[in-house]
Amino acid sequence: MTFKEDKKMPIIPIIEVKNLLKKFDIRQGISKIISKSNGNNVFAVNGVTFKIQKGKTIGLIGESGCGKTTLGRCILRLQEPTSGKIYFKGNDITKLNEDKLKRFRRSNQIIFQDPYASLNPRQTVKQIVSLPLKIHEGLSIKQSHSRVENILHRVGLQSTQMQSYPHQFSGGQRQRIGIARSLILNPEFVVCDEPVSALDVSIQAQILELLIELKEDFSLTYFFISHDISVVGYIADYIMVMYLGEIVESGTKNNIINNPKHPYTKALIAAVPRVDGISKKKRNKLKFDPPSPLYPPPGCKFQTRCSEVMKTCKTVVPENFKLEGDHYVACHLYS
Amino acid sequence: MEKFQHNQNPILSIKNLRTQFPTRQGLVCAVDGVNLEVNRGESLGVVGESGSGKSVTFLSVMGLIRQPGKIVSGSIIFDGQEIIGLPDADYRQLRGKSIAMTMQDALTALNPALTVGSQIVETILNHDKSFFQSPGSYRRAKEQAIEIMRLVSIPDAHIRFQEYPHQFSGGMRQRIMIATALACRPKLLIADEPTTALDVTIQEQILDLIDGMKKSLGMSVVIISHDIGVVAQNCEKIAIMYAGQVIEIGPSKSVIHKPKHPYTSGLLRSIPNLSKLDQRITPIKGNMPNPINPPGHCRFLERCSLPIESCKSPIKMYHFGNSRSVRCVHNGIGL
Repeated sequence: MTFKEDKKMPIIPIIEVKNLLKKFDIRQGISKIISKSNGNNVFAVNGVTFKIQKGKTIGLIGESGCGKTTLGRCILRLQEPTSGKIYFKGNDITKLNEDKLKRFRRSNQIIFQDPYASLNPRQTVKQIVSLPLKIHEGLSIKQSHSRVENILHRVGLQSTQMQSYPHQFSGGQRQRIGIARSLILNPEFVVCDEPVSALDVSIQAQILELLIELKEDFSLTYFFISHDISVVGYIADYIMVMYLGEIVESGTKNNIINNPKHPYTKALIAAVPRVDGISKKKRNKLKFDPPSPLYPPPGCKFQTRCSEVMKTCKTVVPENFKLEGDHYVACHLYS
Repeated sequence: MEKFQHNQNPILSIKNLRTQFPTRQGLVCAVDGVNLEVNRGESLGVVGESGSGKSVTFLSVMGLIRQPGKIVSGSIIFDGQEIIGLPDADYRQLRGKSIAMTMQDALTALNPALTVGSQIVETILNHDKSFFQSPGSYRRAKEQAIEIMRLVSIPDAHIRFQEYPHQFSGGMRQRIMIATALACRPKLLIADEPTTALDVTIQEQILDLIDGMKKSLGMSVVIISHDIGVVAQNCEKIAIMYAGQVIEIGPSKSVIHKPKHPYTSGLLRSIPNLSKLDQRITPIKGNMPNPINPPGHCRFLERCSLPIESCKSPIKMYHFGNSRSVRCVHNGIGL
């Protein structure tokens, strides 16, 4: 697919997602065939809409199981969305066939969460990092040698390590290999799916700094998924907060961190242990666990844990309400 | 900190502990001369990256170092009694009753084939002599188990008593682990990464729970964590471990605000700060040294920002007033 050169390019977002929905049918085996009920669906991503402008980093935070990773994978069509549209530079990619999808993926890559599971233990670094070149440009390992060498050097690895296997590297170094593999095709858009959550603090800082440098050098756009608000607050320009498949609040990083509106965002930010504020403040703490995504509560999905729950919350699903600028919140308190 | 007058009689005192594991590549000195003290009613936080020896130190205390691993030298005095080399039968009486430990991963630590209730009852029946072969002992132990489940805020404890670990969420499983550990009202609770696999909101609940239990049962607590924020907010004293050694120890507030070891200050500067969004993080360069045949000089030398000639000889612990100690020749000057 050749993307149309458009003179108005700067205002066309690099990625635009409209009303994206992904449901998983959890019935298995025979019950899937005979059961007619429609009740056993998990809406991992439930009507998500957003845009990412070129060169910006959008951060996605939420608790485990809220659908962050599914959303990230759906954007790249690593998982097929159930409904909704995804546009890459204004072109609909939701229905691309395999051939065109391959070309789309050339400029859209992902960095995976677990550097221990995402590298083939039987392949050398050179084989791992050169694979995208083989798939997309048909280059042999020999032909891709210098490019592999360059990218490894750029992510802070030595070219002498090219023949080593993943187990010979530490967690941080493995994540560097994963980053090299994602960037070797010179992508424009990269989904970073919890790239630092498996790493120790001092190594996490190294990888974060590396990602920021690479973003400048390769003029990348990141979709940065993390459960750690401090990390997202550090790297992102815009932040979206996800709860049970829905975006409950979105805005600039300043909006979200310093002026959170949704009770969930407030609780999430207050729960982060801070080294500088050692004395614990009195604050609204979240009780209970999140409800099962299989049986979400009616109305606002956060109502079961919300400290400011009202009558309407129990029946009416809150609309996305615009506060100011880019700050949106889905909460009855503000409508 | 008001507890320091009890210094004469700490509940746990580890002196010069060395625990080693022979491997094919060489001898791994996982714990290499650790000195730690936990006073009665005090909470100690042990912070370090993976491989720093924090878990192995406390597995040594619990007598859970498996062959071929071995405590090579040192002494561990618990409640006035030397426990290294204690016969197995005596150790079993101590473990679970006087010292209890919650393991890092609650899912793998609980037996999936037994109900959570029976796992708590097992601890009670094993340790409480008054239950021994008396009629109705199981019923009374069950009542006690349900009570302790209520204590750790598990809703509908009498129903959930019969459920299996997989029916619980991550946070609830951690509560079960804590309930099992607290079943015999131990004098010391060692919590190994109690919140690592949990979301921040749940993490907060668990840390509050441990803190509440500590106060109501009057026990001492050790929290092992890689997250300095978690420990800073919840422990009175903090010990930083690096490559098998304690490199800094002192009251939490003073260590966080005025770190004296370059590693501690580097660690603090590697964490993105939500209160200061624009502040850049500065990663510590490099990786932890190989635990096999560790260098005789300062273990942090290769990564340190202030290396001088005298760092190349073995570094002893320097002690200050205000119960602070640091293993660095700079004594915090120049940081």
